[in-house]
Amino acid sequence: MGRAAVVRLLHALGVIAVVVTLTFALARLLPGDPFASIADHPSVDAAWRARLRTTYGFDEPLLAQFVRWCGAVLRGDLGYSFSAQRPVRELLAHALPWTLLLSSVALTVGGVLGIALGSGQAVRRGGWADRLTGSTTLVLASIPDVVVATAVLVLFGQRLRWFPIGGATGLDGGGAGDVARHLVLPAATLALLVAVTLARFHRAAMVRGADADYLLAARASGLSRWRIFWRHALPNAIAPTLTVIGVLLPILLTGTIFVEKVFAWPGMGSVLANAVLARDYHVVTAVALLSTTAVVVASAAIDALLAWLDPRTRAR
Amino acid sequence: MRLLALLAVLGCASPDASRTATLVVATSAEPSSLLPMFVTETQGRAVSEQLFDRLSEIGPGLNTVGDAGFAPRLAERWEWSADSLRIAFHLDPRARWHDGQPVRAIDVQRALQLVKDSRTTAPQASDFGAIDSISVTDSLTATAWFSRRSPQQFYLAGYLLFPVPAHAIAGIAPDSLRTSAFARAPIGSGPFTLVSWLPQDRIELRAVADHYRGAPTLGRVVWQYASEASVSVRRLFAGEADFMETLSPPDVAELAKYPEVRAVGYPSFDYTLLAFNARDPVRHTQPHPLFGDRALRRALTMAVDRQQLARALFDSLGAPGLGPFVRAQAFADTTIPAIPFDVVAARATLDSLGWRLGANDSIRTRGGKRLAWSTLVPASSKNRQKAALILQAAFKAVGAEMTIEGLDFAGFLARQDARRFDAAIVGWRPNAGAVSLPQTWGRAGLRPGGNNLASYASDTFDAAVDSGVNALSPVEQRRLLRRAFETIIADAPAIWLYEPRNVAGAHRRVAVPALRPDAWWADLSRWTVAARLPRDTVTR
Repeated sequence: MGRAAVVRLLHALGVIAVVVTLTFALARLLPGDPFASIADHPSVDAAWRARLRTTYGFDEPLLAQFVRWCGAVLRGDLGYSFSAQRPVRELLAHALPWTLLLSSVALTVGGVLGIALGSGQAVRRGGWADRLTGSTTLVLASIPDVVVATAVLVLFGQRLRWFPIGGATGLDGGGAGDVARHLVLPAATLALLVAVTLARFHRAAMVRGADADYLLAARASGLSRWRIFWRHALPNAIAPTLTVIGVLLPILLTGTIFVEKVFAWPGMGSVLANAVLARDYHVVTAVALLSTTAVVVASAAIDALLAWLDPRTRAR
Repeated sequence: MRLLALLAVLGCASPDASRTATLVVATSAEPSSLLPMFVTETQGRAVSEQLFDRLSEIGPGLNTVGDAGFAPRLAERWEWSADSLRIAFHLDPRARWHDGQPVRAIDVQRALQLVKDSRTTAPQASDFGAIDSISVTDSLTATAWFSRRSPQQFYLAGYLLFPVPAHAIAGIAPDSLRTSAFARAPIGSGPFTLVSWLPQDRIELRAVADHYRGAPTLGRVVWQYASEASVSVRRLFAGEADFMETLSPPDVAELAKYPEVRAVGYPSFDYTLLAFNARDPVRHTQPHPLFGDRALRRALTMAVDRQQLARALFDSLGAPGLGPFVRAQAFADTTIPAIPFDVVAARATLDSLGWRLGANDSIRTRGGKRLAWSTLVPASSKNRQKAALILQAAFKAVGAEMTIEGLDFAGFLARQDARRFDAAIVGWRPNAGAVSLPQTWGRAGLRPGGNNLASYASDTFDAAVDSGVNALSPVEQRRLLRRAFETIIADAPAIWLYEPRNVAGAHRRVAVPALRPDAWWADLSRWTVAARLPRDTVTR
């Protein structure tokens, strides 16, 4: 057990190292530098941008930059963001909580809704409710995410004015209630997109197990339909769904770019999108470090959860 | 009483009623810094120039020659020496930094030292080369020394230079100033002080009640950021924001559905051009195989109906470009003849240059080479992308093939810096003065890292610009620069495409004065807002 844990840890560290190294190099292969967006003016010439590159060491060989960056990271310094004009650590410390809030609410609501929809479809397999839900989730899954987000924003924010348009807090200092009001539209959009994905996976998992022997035995022993569902069918079908959730977790950390941009949510997705466009190397690499770590941790957590839920997987 | 009732009906605000009001500005980009010496972009200037005052403010005519029209700010008055090589600025004794310390002459001196210090990496450091030094005559008198007379002496020292609180930055090394905590939360001298800067979210400023120029008529100003411009527009339409500096033509059309929001037009300081690279993009010492030829550039210019192009992009909210200047600049001359739109003449010129169309060809060739090139366009600019498509069609009509190469802005700028392009659609926002002309179009900008993107070189132009920039009267400057502009327009190193007319969106509760083309925010501290929303009652 101890050896397996060490192997897993080393494997995880290897994955993080490879992803971060690749991101570090690829970001610098893109044309441009972090000073492009702050110098579009006739009085500002290329020589000035070159001087800035020298001042901040971006003209050094890639390897030298990487070694310097690694040393700084080990000291807890993630560098400076020239697009946000603050240390990267400070920028991420501001953005991460907002993304975690958005993602956790969206994942919880979307997860429960998706599993409920998928279960409902499976229980009434072939019926009109199954077909209607299946068609609806297929349509929603097919519409580009950004279209769904924009439609939600225009309808509920601009036209009906039920919720604020963008941002995470208002100007009136409203506290938790204020944050909740701002959270509704982006979280609902993201939850909807999570739900339609999960519903389809979960229905398929439930249908695959519908003719299993243990369910046949349960039915033969006279258990109620709901008891069979809650005690036998759902726990056995949940494993593949949890695996999908495990994949979604890290995506929700940085993959919420479109929702964060459309709703001006000041989270990690916005940070990453802006940093890539601004060639803000330090931010891009730091986000890669953070998201890869999240992938590794989420993967381990899901494996542990699956093992707890399904004893058969513990021996694997 | 009747007046108050009338104001209430009209939704306007008296200055007193406005003093608790919040003005919310929706915009798409955060400042690159809050210290004016590091800021060049509009969004950053709008904020940093509320935090910091200059020695003097430019007049409504935007004259930059001498001190005509300039109004006192931190300097309550100034004196020229008899030989015009010194200007003594007498500071307003009531002026205070936001921490309560008085503004002193040493703050003016320190500002120049920092801007000129290469370690500070201030982007416009080269502009200040004309000021030798600033000496402290007494605590309230700073004297700027110049090595030679120039028409923009006063503009440089009195307008472009922002004093900094020497006492607050004493411990910060010049090479750390840009990334220092002070740069994010500075102590300024302007009518507003910083409350908070939440990254990717907002910047909040609060009025300085005891400001030496009088309390602002607004209680606070909040810049709300959204990287998607559409979010900013929706905030304005939904009443969550009070002002947005630029609306696109489709947004202006949609404005009719929102009676509580109105359009406010004002002249622009932006112009866009198609720059022809006169040098080979690979072997920079060689002329460009196509655009090294003046006659070819002129022929291609004749192929473009710029009037139609401006109308297609902006309807009535834009005009064809005139040359390397905008109409709002004090020295602008709208009577200089342009190369006319004349497709027949364009075709004839191309024929005469040996670029011929074969019987079944749609693209001209000469010596087996096609008349074809690629044009860089930043993907972030919808207007420039649309302009590229219109140009492509116009050139095709005369037998030339232009391919469009869309790049994100950082990539676009990298290629532009390296001069690795045939042609590029470039947007410029010049300073009010003519001082940057030699750098952008003269031989001075041809050096490596210079700003003469088209690598345009003309002795006639250089001489005329040099004379114009150094003319000591606005009338003389205009006359001399006209000669320079006639030369460059005839040489066609670029096609001057369009100059948009800005349209801002403003909520009707905001009384917006006439907006200055180079700085809509110039009188922000005097704007009034009818305080009637929950956000207007927040006190801090």
